[in-house]
Amino acid sequence: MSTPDRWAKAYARQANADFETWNALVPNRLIPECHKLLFLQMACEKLVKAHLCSKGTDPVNVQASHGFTAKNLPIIVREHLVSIGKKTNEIVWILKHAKHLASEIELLAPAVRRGGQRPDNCEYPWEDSGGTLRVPLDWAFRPTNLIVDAAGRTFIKVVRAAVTELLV
Amino acid sequence: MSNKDVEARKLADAHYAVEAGITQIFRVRGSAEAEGLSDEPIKLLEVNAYTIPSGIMPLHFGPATAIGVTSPSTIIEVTPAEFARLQSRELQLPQGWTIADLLPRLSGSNGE
Repeated sequence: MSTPDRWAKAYARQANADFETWNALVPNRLIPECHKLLFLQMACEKLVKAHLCSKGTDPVNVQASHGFTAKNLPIIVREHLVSIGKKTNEIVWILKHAKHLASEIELLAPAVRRGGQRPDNCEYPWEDSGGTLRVPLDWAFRPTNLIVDAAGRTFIKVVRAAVTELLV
Repeated sequence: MSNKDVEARKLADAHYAVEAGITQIFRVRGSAEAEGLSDEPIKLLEVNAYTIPSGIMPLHFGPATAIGVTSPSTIIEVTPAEFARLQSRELQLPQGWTIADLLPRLSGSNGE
Protein backbone atom coordinates (compact mmCIF):
# COMPACT_ATOMS: atom_id res chain seq x y z
CA MET A 1 0.00 0.00 0.00
CA SER A 2 1.46 3.35 -1.04
CA THR A 3 1.94 6.03 1.59
CA PRO A 4 0.12 9.39 1.48
CA ASP A 5 3.46 11.01 0.69
CA ARG A 6 3.90 8.87 -2.42
CA TRP A 7 0.32 9.66 -3.44
CA ALA A 8 1.11 13.35 -2.96
CA LYS A 9 4.06 13.13 -5.34
CA ALA A 10 2.01 11.16 -7.83
CA TYR A 11 -0.81 13.74 -7.81
CA ALA A 12 1.74 16.56 -8.06
CA ARG A 13 3.42 15.01 -11.11
CA GLN A 14 0.10 14.66 -12.88
CA ALA A 15 -0.94 18.19 -11.83
CA ASN A 16 2.32 19.49 -13.28
CA ALA A 17 1.66 17.76 -16.61
CA ASP A 18 -1.94 19.05 -16.67
CA PHE A 19 -0.73 22.59 -15.99
CA GLU A 20 1.93 22.48 -18.70
CA THR A 21 -0.60 21.06 -21.15
CA TRP A 22 -3.05 23.89 -20.36
CA ASN A 23 -0.34 26.51 -20.84
CA ALA A 24 0.74 24.93 -24.13
CA LEU A 25 -2.81 24.71 -25.49
CA VAL A 26 -3.94 28.23 -24.59
CA PRO A 27 -2.42 30.06 -27.59
CA ASN A 28 -3.83 27.53 -30.08
CA ARG A 29 -6.92 29.07 -31.68
CA LEU A 30 -8.02 25.73 -33.14
CA ILE A 31 -8.60 24.13 -29.75
CA PRO A 32 -11.93 24.93 -28.04
CA GLU A 33 -11.78 26.90 -24.81
CA CYS A 34 -13.60 24.17 -22.90
CA HIS A 35 -10.86 21.67 -23.68
CA LYS A 36 -8.11 24.06 -22.63
CA LEU A 37 -9.87 24.85 -19.35
CA LEU A 38 -10.37 21.18 -18.62
CA PHE A 39 -6.62 20.86 -18.11
CA LEU A 40 -6.52 23.89 -15.82
CA GLN A 41 -9.37 22.45 -13.74
CA MET A 42 -7.63 19.08 -13.53
CA ALA A 43 -4.30 20.69 -12.59
CA CYS A 44 -5.93 22.61 -9.73
CA GLU A 45 -7.87 19.58 -8.50
CA LYS A 46 -4.77 17.37 -8.45
CA LEU A 47 -2.71 20.09 -6.77
CA VAL A 48 -5.28 20.18 -3.98
CA LYS A 49 -5.29 16.40 -3.69
CA ALA A 50 -1.48 16.35 -3.64
CA HIS A 51 -1.49 18.97 -0.90
CA LEU A 52 -4.05 17.09 1.19
CA CYS A 53 -2.13 13.81 0.87
CA SER A 54 1.12 15.58 1.77
CA LYS A 55 -0.56 16.71 5.01
CA GLY A 56 -1.52 13.15 5.88
CA THR A 57 -5.05 12.83 4.47
CA ASP A 58 -5.86 9.24 3.55
CA PRO A 59 -5.62 9.09 -0.28
CA VAL A 60 -8.81 7.03 -0.36
CA ASN A 61 -10.70 10.05 0.97
CA VAL A 62 -9.67 12.35 -1.88
CA GLN A 63 -10.10 10.02 -4.83
CA ALA A 64 -13.84 10.15 -5.38
CA SER A 65 -14.68 13.85 -5.31
CA HIS A 66 -14.06 16.81 -7.62
CA GLY A 67 -15.26 19.22 -4.96
CA PHE A 68 -12.05 20.05 -3.10
CA THR A 69 -10.76 22.97 -5.12
CA ALA A 70 -12.97 25.89 -4.04
CA LYS A 71 -12.33 25.26 -0.35
CA ASN A 72 -8.71 24.16 -0.37
CA LEU A 73 -6.99 25.99 -3.21
CA PRO A 74 -7.25 29.40 -1.47
CA ILE A 75 -5.69 27.79 1.61
CA ILE A 76 -2.78 26.53 -0.51
CA VAL A 77 -2.42 29.98 -2.05
CA ARG A 78 -2.38 31.59 1.39
CA GLU A 79 0.19 29.12 2.74
CA HIS A 80 2.46 29.76 -0.22
CA LEU A 81 2.18 33.54 0.07
CA VAL A 82 2.91 33.40 3.81
CA SER A 83 5.86 31.05 3.28
CA ILE A 84 7.57 33.47 0.90
CA GLY A 85 6.98 36.43 3.20
CA LYS A 86 4.41 38.44 1.27
CA LYS A 87 2.98 41.42 3.14
CA THR A 88 -0.38 40.96 4.85
CA ASN A 89 -2.18 43.54 2.72
CA GLU A 90 -0.89 41.85 -0.44
CA ILE A 91 -1.99 38.41 0.79
CA VAL A 92 -5.46 39.73 1.67
CA TRP A 93 -5.83 41.33 -1.76
CA ILE A 94 -4.68 38.23 -3.67
CA LEU A 95 -6.79 35.88 -1.53
CA LYS A 96 -9.93 37.91 -2.07
CA HIS A 97 -9.63 37.24 -5.79
CA ALA A 98 -8.15 33.72 -5.48
CA LYS A 99 -11.26 32.51 -3.65
CA HIS A 100 -13.47 33.59 -6.51
CA LEU A 101 -11.15 32.12 -9.16
CA ALA A 102 -10.86 28.79 -7.32
CA SER A 103 -14.63 28.58 -7.02
CA GLU A 104 -15.12 29.20 -10.74
CA ILE A 105 -12.41 26.69 -11.67
CA GLU A 106 -14.04 24.02 -9.50
CA LEU A 107 -17.32 24.59 -11.38
CA LEU A 108 -15.66 23.54 -14.64
CA ALA A 109 -15.95 19.92 -13.45
CA PRO A 110 -19.30 18.40 -14.49
CA ALA A 111 -19.82 16.74 -11.11
CA VAL A 112 -19.84 20.13 -9.35
CA ARG A 113 -23.23 21.77 -9.88
CA ARG A 114 -23.87 23.82 -6.71
CA GLY A 115 -27.26 22.24 -6.15
CA GLY A 116 -28.19 22.50 -9.81
CA GLN A 117 -27.59 26.27 -9.87
CA ARG A 118 -24.41 25.98 -11.97
CA PRO A 119 -24.64 23.09 -14.42
CA ASP A 120 -22.17 24.76 -16.81
CA ASN A 121 -19.09 22.58 -17.19
CA CYS A 122 -16.28 21.84 -19.63
CA GLU A 123 -17.27 18.33 -20.67
CA TYR A 124 -20.97 17.62 -21.12
CA PRO A 125 -24.00 19.45 -22.56
CA TRP A 126 -26.58 20.63 -20.04
CA GLU A 127 -30.05 22.13 -20.08
CA ASP A 128 -30.36 25.55 -18.49
CA SER A 129 -33.22 26.66 -16.25
CA GLY A 130 -35.15 27.89 -19.28
CA GLY A 131 -34.91 24.52 -21.01
CA THR A 132 -32.29 25.58 -23.54
CA LEU A 133 -29.69 22.94 -24.34
CA ARG A 134 -26.16 24.31 -23.85
CA VAL A 135 -22.93 22.86 -25.18
CA PRO A 136 -19.51 23.49 -23.58
CA LEU A 137 -18.07 24.27 -27.04
CA ASP A 138 -20.25 27.40 -27.24
CA TRP A 139 -20.15 28.54 -23.60
CA ALA A 140 -18.22 31.57 -22.32
CA PHE A 141 -16.55 30.22 -19.20
CA ARG A 142 -15.59 32.66 -16.48
CA PRO A 143 -11.97 31.42 -16.06
CA THR A 144 -11.33 32.34 -19.69
CA ASN A 145 -10.96 35.86 -18.31
CA LEU A 146 -7.87 35.05 -16.23
CA ILE A 147 -6.00 37.32 -18.65
CA VAL A 148 -7.94 40.34 -17.36
CA ASP A 149 -9.17 39.21 -13.94
CA ALA A 150 -7.66 40.88 -10.90
CA ALA A 151 -4.82 38.69 -9.59
CA GLY A 152 -5.42 36.22 -12.45
CA ARG A 153 -1.81 35.96 -13.54
CA THR A 154 -0.49 35.88 -9.97
CA PHE A 155 -3.03 33.18 -9.10
CA ILE A 156 -1.74 31.04 -11.96
CA LYS A 157 1.86 31.59 -10.88
CA VAL A 158 1.05 30.52 -7.32
CA VAL A 159 -0.66 27.37 -8.59
CA ARG A 160 2.43 26.57 -10.66
CA ALA A 161 4.78 27.28 -7.74
CA ALA A 162 2.72 25.18 -5.32
CA VAL A 163 2.78 22.23 -7.73
CA THR A 164 6.55 22.59 -8.13
CA GLU A 165 7.05 22.62 -4.35
CA LEU A 166 5.22 19.33 -4.02
CA LEU A 167 7.39 17.72 -6.67
CA VAL A 168 10.55 18.16 -4.60
CA MET B 1 0.24 52.45 -34.77
CA SER B 2 -0.45 48.80 -35.67
CA ASN B 3 -3.51 46.93 -34.51
CA LYS B 4 -1.29 44.87 -32.22
CA ASP B 5 0.09 48.06 -30.68
CA VAL B 6 -3.45 49.26 -30.00
CA GLU B 7 -4.37 45.93 -28.45
CA ALA B 8 -1.22 45.88 -26.30
CA ARG B 9 -2.23 49.28 -24.94
CA LYS B 10 -5.76 48.01 -24.19
CA LEU B 11 -4.37 44.98 -22.37
CA ALA B 12 -1.97 47.13 -20.35
CA ASP B 13 -4.78 49.53 -19.44
CA ALA B 14 -6.95 46.62 -18.30
CA HIS B 15 -4.16 45.27 -16.12
CA TYR B 16 -3.28 48.65 -14.61
CA ALA B 17 -6.99 49.08 -13.83
CA VAL B 18 -7.45 45.83 -11.88
CA GLU B 19 -4.03 45.06 -10.40
CA ALA B 20 -3.19 46.89 -7.22
CA GLY B 21 0.52 46.02 -7.36
CA ILE B 22 1.51 46.80 -10.94
CA THR B 23 4.00 49.63 -11.28
CA GLN B 24 5.22 49.24 -14.88
CA ILE B 25 4.26 47.35 -18.03
CA PHE B 26 6.63 46.96 -20.97
CA ARG B 27 6.16 45.50 -24.42
CA VAL B 28 8.43 42.55 -25.12
CA ARG B 29 9.39 41.96 -28.72
CA GLY B 30 10.84 38.99 -30.53
CA SER B 31 12.69 39.01 -33.83
CA ALA B 32 11.34 41.22 -36.61
CA GLU B 33 10.40 38.10 -38.50
CA ALA B 34 8.42 36.69 -35.56
CA GLU B 35 6.71 39.99 -34.80
CA GLY B 36 5.55 40.19 -38.40
CA LEU B 37 3.52 37.02 -38.07
CA SER B 38 -0.18 37.63 -37.52
CA ASP B 39 -0.48 34.94 -34.85
CA GLU B 40 2.54 36.12 -32.84
CA PRO B 41 1.20 36.92 -29.36
CA ILE B 42 1.31 40.33 -27.77
CA LYS B 43 4.04 39.99 -25.15
CA LEU B 44 4.02 42.09 -21.98
CA LEU B 45 6.47 42.27 -19.09
CA GLU B 46 4.61 43.40 -15.98
CA VAL B 47 6.35 44.58 -12.81
CA ASN B 48 4.01 43.71 -9.95
CA ALA B 49 4.87 44.18 -6.29
CA TYR B 50 2.03 41.84 -5.31
CA THR B 51 3.10 38.88 -7.40
CA ILE B 52 5.34 36.04 -6.29
CA PRO B 53 8.94 35.58 -7.37
CA SER B 54 9.10 32.79 -9.93
CA GLY B 55 11.87 33.78 -12.30
CA ILE B 56 10.91 34.32 -15.92
CA MET B 57 7.70 32.38 -16.41
CA PRO B 58 5.83 33.31 -19.60
CA LEU B 59 2.11 32.59 -19.27
CA HIS B 60 0.08 32.21 -22.43
CA PHE B 61 -3.47 33.46 -22.87
CA GLY B 62 -6.02 33.50 -25.66
CA PRO B 63 -7.75 36.61 -27.03
CA ALA B 64 -9.51 38.88 -24.53
CA THR B 65 -12.42 39.82 -26.75
CA ALA B 66 -14.35 41.41 -23.88
CA ILE B 67 -11.86 44.29 -23.96
CA GLY B 68 -11.31 44.27 -27.72
CA VAL B 69 -8.10 42.24 -27.79
CA THR B 70 -8.29 39.67 -30.57
CA SER B 71 -4.63 38.56 -30.46
CA PRO B 72 -3.33 35.92 -28.08
CA SER B 73 -0.95 37.23 -25.45
CA THR B 74 1.99 36.16 -23.35
CA ILE B 75 2.45 37.76 -19.95
CA ILE B 76 5.66 37.70 -17.94
CA GLU B 77 4.87 38.97 -14.46
CA VAL B 78 7.86 39.76 -12.25
CA THR B 79 8.45 41.29 -8.84
CA PRO B 80 10.37 44.60 -8.63
CA ALA B 81 13.42 42.63 -7.39
CA GLU B 82 13.21 40.31 -10.37
CA PHE B 83 12.93 43.31 -12.68
CA ALA B 84 16.15 44.66 -11.21
CA ARG B 85 17.79 41.30 -11.88
CA LEU B 86 16.53 41.43 -15.47
CA GLN B 87 18.03 44.87 -15.92
CA SER B 88 21.37 43.67 -14.55
CA ARG B 89 21.14 40.63 -16.88
CA GLU B 90 21.17 38.26 -13.93
CA LEU B 91 17.82 37.05 -15.28
CA GLN B 92 17.23 36.61 -19.01
CA LEU B 93 14.15 36.69 -21.16
CA PRO B 94 13.63 33.73 -23.49
CA GLN B 95 15.99 33.60 -26.47
CA GLY B 96 15.47 36.47 -28.91
CA TRP B 97 13.05 38.47 -26.73
CA THR B 98 13.92 42.00 -25.66
CA ILE B 99 12.28 44.54 -23.38
CA ALA B 100 10.85 47.28 -25.60
CA ASP B 101 8.75 50.36 -24.94
CA LEU B 102 7.16 51.20 -21.61
CA LEU B 103 3.37 51.34 -21.67
CA PRO B 104 2.87 53.87 -18.90
CA ARG B 105 -0.10 53.97 -16.58
CA LEU B 106 -2.65 56.44 -17.81
CA SER B 107 -4.36 58.65 -15.28
CA GLY B 108 -7.48 57.02 -13.91
CA SER B 109 -6.21 53.43 -14.04
CA ASN B 110 -5.27 52.94 -10.43
CA GLY B 111 -5.98 49.29 -9.67
CA GLU B 112 -8.40 48.20 -7.00
